[in-house]
Amino acid sequence: MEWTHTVTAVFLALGCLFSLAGSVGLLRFPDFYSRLHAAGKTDSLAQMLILGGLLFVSPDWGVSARLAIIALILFFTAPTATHAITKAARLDGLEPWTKEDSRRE
Amino acid sequence: MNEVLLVDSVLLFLVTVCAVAIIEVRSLYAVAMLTSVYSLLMALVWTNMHSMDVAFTEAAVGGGISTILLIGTLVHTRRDEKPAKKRVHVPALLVTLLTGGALIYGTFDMPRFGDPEATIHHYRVPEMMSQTVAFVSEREGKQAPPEGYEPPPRMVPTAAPPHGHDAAHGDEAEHAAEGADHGAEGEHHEDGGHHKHPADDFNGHVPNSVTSLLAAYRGFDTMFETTVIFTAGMALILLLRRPREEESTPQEGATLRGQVILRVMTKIFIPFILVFGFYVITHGEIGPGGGFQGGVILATAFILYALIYGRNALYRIISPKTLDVLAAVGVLLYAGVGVACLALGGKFLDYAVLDKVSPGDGEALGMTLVEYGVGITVCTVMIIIFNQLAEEPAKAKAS
Amino acid sequence: MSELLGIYNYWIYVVLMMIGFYGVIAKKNLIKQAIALGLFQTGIFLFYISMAVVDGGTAPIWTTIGDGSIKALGPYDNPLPHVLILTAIVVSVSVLAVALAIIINIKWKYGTIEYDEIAAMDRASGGGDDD
Repeated sequence: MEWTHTVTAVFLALGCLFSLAGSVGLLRFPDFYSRLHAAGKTDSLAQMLILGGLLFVSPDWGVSARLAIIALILFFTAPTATHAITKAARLDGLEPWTKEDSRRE
Repeated sequence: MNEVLLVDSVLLFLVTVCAVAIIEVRSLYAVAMLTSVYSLLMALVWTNMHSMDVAFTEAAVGGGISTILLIGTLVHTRRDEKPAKKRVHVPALLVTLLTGGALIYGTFDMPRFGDPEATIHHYRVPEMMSQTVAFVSEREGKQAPPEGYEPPPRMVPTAAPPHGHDAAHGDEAEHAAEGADHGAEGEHHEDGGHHKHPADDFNGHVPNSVTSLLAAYRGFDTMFETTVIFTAGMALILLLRRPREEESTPQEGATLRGQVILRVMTKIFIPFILVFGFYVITHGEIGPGGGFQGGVILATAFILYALIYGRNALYRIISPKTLDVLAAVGVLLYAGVGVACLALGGKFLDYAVLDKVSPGDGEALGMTLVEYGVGITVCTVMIIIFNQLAEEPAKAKAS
Repeated sequence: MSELLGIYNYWIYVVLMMIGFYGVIAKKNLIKQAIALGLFQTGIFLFYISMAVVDGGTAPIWTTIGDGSIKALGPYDNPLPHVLILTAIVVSVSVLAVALAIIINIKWKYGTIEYDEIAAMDRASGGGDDD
């Protein structure tokens, strides 16, 4: 096996791991904001890892360039989307979870 | 076992769960989001089955536009479904179970998933493919060119083929055995007799066979699909357009101008979205993409602008009247290419006559023009639909 | 086992279609019905695309090689169903849009989008004119 394949495999595995962590956080965290925090943060990292890993096995420069552009665009748009969602929730009057709220859970 | 099925079975399970959730969840906003998730899952299913163009369309249309349309409608209507008296509608369940049972009984006669011998891959497919794409053998369908294949020189439409008809015939068996053939190519136009597609040409056969089938073999069909979309836009205008005397009223509440991050990011990304949309339309012959997908992507740029800056800002860039005209221009461009082909002595939508010297380039030109026609109509109709669904409910109710 | 997996996709298409069908019949909310119709359509799309798959095939996109000619690399999936579904998806969004526009008009006229309430209003106003 070529070394590039090993590198890609490691990157993809890490990416999947972070995605999984994000999903677990999405299910386990107590309120909207912390859930979004888990999903947004891990997804940004996971997509960078996955697309970065794929860079090592891309057949030519055109594909590499596209992967890099996709990664760059997602790197900007994903946090923007997360920001928009939280802002909408905040404007809608959703209060962040505090420790005192834990009895309500 | 087909390797596609490994991922497929997991994805389709998720899709089914998602579909049940869409039917059962009562909050309609949640349903709109679930529909988006469902479409994106479906896009993955299509990608997994190597249907890139369909996946592209599904992601752009189902994941993007449909969700916006649904949410735009929910603003006008109520956000929750009325709770039903009974949890399960027994007659409906019976009917669906019976129909489903009958259909599943029917599937036992279907060819196995991925069976290369299935009728669908052989009946008429070689003929279809040879009209559009090179390297198709009569018997075996889509094939690779033989090892030492040398493309024949370019020829003008009326010129005799470089190899005689008989020679092509003589080679037939050999070619078929090799599983690739350009002789069949020339033959299929023998009775049509108007011109021959050079097998070497970059574009007598565009690389993306989906696009070439879309624009050439099913050109009439695609033209009328475009007309259907145009008609949908007209229906929306007839159903929902009200006289706009409130043009001057600022809709401060409706805009997100105050959101600095959103505003800046929108401003940065709209040019990229537009470039990407045009790239997808133009590139449709070479890779996945085409007028439908590109048009929807272009529309999202305008819709995003309208969402952030308000619809009045959008109307300052592109007025509703311009949009209406452009929607018709797209269809007319498509039909106009067809008429131009007629005028140049070909058949309707026979793009090869557009370039007398190299029919292949003519096809490329015709397909690009047609794709742009589709793109313009799809883009403008999507914007029209969004604009109409986003009309202010209060004003409209008063009318 | 292999035989069953060979028609697994076709079963899912039936299931999706029937979920949509159930939604169209059982749900009284018009928006729900429009979405259920979309599910029904997606089931049919799945049926078509499943038929196009060829063992070991790849996307039906030929590659261009250096001198500008195009080259096929191996077996390809059948592109014709892809073309049919590609246009059908865009038409389905048009159908959805027109349906939603009609639903909005119904909301303006009747003030509700629940089918049974609309039917009750029609009965109350005496006459089954389906305006």
